[in-house]
Amino acid sequence: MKGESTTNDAVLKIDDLRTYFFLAEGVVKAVDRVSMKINEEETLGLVGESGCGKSTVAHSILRLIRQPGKIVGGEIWFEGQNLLKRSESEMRKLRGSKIAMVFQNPTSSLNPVFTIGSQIAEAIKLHQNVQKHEIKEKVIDILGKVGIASPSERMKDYPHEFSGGMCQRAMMAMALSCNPKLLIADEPTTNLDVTIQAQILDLMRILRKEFNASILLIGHDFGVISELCDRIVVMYSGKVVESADLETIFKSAKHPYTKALLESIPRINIERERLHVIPGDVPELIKPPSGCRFHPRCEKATEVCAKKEPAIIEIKKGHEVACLLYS
Amino acid sequence: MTMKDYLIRRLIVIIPTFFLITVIIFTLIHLAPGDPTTMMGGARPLREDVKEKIRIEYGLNQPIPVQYLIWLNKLLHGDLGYSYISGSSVIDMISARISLTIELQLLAELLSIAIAVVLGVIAAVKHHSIYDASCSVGALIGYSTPDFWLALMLILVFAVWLGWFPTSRPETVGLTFTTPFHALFDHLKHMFLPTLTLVTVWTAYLFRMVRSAMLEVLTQDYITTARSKGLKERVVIYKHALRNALLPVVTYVGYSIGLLFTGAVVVEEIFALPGLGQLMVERSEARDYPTLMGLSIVIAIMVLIASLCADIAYAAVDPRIRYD
Amino acid sequence: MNSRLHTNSKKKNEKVHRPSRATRLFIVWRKLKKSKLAIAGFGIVLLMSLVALLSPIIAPYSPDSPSGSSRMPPSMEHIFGTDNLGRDMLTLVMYGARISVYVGIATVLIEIAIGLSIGMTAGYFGGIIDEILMRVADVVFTLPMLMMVLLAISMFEVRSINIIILVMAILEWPLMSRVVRSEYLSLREATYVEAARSMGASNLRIMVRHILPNILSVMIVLATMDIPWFILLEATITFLGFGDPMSSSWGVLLERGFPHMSTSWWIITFPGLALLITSLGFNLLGDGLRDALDVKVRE
Repeated sequence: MKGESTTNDAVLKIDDLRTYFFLAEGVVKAVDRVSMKINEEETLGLVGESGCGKSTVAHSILRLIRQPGKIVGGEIWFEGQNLLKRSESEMRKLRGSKIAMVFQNPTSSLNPVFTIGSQIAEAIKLHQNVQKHEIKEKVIDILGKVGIASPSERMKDYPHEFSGGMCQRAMMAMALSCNPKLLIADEPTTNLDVTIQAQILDLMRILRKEFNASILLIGHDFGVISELCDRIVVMYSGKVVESADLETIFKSAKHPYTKALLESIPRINIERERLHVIPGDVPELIKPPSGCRFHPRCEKATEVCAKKEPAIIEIKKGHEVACLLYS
Repeated sequence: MTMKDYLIRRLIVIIPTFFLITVIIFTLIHLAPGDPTTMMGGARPLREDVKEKIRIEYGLNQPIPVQYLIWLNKLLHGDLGYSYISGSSVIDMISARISLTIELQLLAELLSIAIAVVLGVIAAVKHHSIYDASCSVGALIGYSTPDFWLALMLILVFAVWLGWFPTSRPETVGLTFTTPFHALFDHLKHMFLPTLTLVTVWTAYLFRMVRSAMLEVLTQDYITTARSKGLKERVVIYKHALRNALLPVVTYVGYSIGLLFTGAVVVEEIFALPGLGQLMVERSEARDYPTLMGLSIVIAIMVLIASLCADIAYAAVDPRIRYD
Repeated sequence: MNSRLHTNSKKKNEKVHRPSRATRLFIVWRKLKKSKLAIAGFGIVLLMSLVALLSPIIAPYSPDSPSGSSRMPPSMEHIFGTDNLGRDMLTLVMYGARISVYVGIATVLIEIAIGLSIGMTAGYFGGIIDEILMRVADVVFTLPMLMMVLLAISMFEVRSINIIILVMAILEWPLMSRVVRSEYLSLREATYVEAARSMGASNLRIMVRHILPNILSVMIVLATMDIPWFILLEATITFLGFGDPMSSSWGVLLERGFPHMSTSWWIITFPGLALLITSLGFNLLGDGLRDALDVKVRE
């Protein structure tokens, strides 16, 4: 059943992942010992502010990290194999077929000089053994499934002829064309208008049922995340600070950061003088604060928080927090 | 918009440009002081009745705009003028020499593009490597080298000292060849150093363009998307990246056609190749205005055609342009 | 490298403190210092300028009268050898720097004057003025530079270096004006322009006082890269026989030395090397400036 995590059900299991970027100024620990798990047909939301490392996690799964970045430690388990130990050609077989990704800027994420149809066909041709005429049919089929009208005409169009929302649909068509087990959606609606956002989320709801895919949905907007997700993982400054199912997070979040994030969501039905703001700035990842990374901005911080890094603790079944208040 | 419509649009724009060019060239030549007929003879002044004939034919006693129209009319009928100094029609002089210039330009240009693209792509992919650094520095040096000096140095080293190549002319004078293959080989030997001079400098220009375009393209989002689909890196680079990187390169080549001709002039002069460039220099020294006017128009037309070709190539590669 | 890496250290609404001009110059200088190639370029430019300025003082011999036998190869007394009249090549090359560097700078200054005015007008006013100006610019730009220069020069009875400078500048303005124009096109919608206009500033004042300072970096880079181009162009023109034989630029040296090439290689090698090195210096500097000032030359 959804929401209950048993290791046997896990489609993807990230253990202690460490991805660092080696810059001239120093080492940026973008992802520092992060663990999480996505179960079958589950949608996991990965939430955090800009720069907290969530995109880097996504890129690490598919091993798309390039110089000066490097995955330096940890394990990523998928279909019984550690992805970090597989060869590059094995990874290529996975990308786009078993694990697919959708990106943040749909218009700039599609190659402007090739037609939409040809870009989708490219993915199909690469991973599936089909005849030429079949490819065309499949492209039309998948474009129809993502809600693009007159797909046989529109597949000959170029990305600049598609609106932002349509580009995102096309990207999803490309990602889903080979029936992936896991779809990674990296802030898919962030750059779209609100109305289009809603459409895309609806689309994702329909598609995940049709394709039985697990989804890793990355974003910084709790509102968007809560529309689709079963479980939520909250990240801050390269680390996981809390993870639980959707209801628990909204009703009984424990970590001060999570609580502050939830408080910051403007709400119509509550009267307030000012919007709640988390004071301070997101820290530089080159020189993160000592101890708990959130402590400079935390209302509940104590002396210990500056010295000791909190470990992840399971408060209740399925609810984990990394905060010294609870240890 | 289809390619045909785009082509027609471009052609329509070219026509006023062409006329503007004729105006500029005409104006330039007619800024020279004095009676043109005095100069047309060069060292040997023309007979008075010949001068009178010229005056009537070109309408030299009429106001300037009328003169322009008379000249333009002749131009459009294919009459490029007659050079009294050299005693032949301008068209004859040009057609005798045009093939050599075209050969030199095309050869040098195609080679430069090919080399620059290969080296530039590799340099961009291996950014920050020794390969990249040394190619970039080499390109900078090539780009800063005066082309005529390079020609001189090449002649000095390879022709005079080492004797591997001839110093001038497009073929060995006075030799009869047993087979056309023999003739071709001889010709290529003569064309080697001139082409090398041009290729060195142009490849340097183009390499920098290709490299910086590739570097820019490789940071784009759609490249990450391509990789996330599971494509081989080679496909990502040569199919997805290169096609986009070539766009600014094609634009640049189109713009710099004029520059390329400049290099050819110098090379033709030094290597005594009887092409249009050398004709230009020769006729300028002699102040043979009728020839210069006709020649300039022909060169301008060649440049226009070349840039039209570049525009077409660009539209073929970038679908966005067609929808402007 | 992904911009996702850089954590935003500024909140969106925080006031951005614009550092003073002095601080900005300092930052640019520091960035410039980081590139070894740019430093090398700067060094070369400095060296050449000094040689040009100080040549009467530091040259070993006189450039006009012979100081040795004709066509002597490089030796201890004559490091660059002597030319066909016995004049010391090193001296000639040093004096040549004066003319060549002068040509480069003078032409660029005139080019800037023309290109700036035209580009400013086209970009700021737009519309039909822009269309016409840019059409003319297109034409002048496409025509082969050398062809036009030869045409123009062959008309003048007198061969003078200043005429060459003028001709080159007049024929080269399109590129600069194009760049200036596109900068003005994009900047004229800026908020500070609106503000100035609402305070009653005239168009001219806005163009010069408000927008111009913002495009300085682009202009500096372009100018730095144009200088070597003009130096080489003048040398080419002179070499082809259309130069000013009285000026003793490097082009003249090469023109004079060409007939003696096979017997006395030093007569053409050293002036040419001087051209190469000077050109290289300016190009290196230009590259470095472009990176330090973070300039993207828009077409």
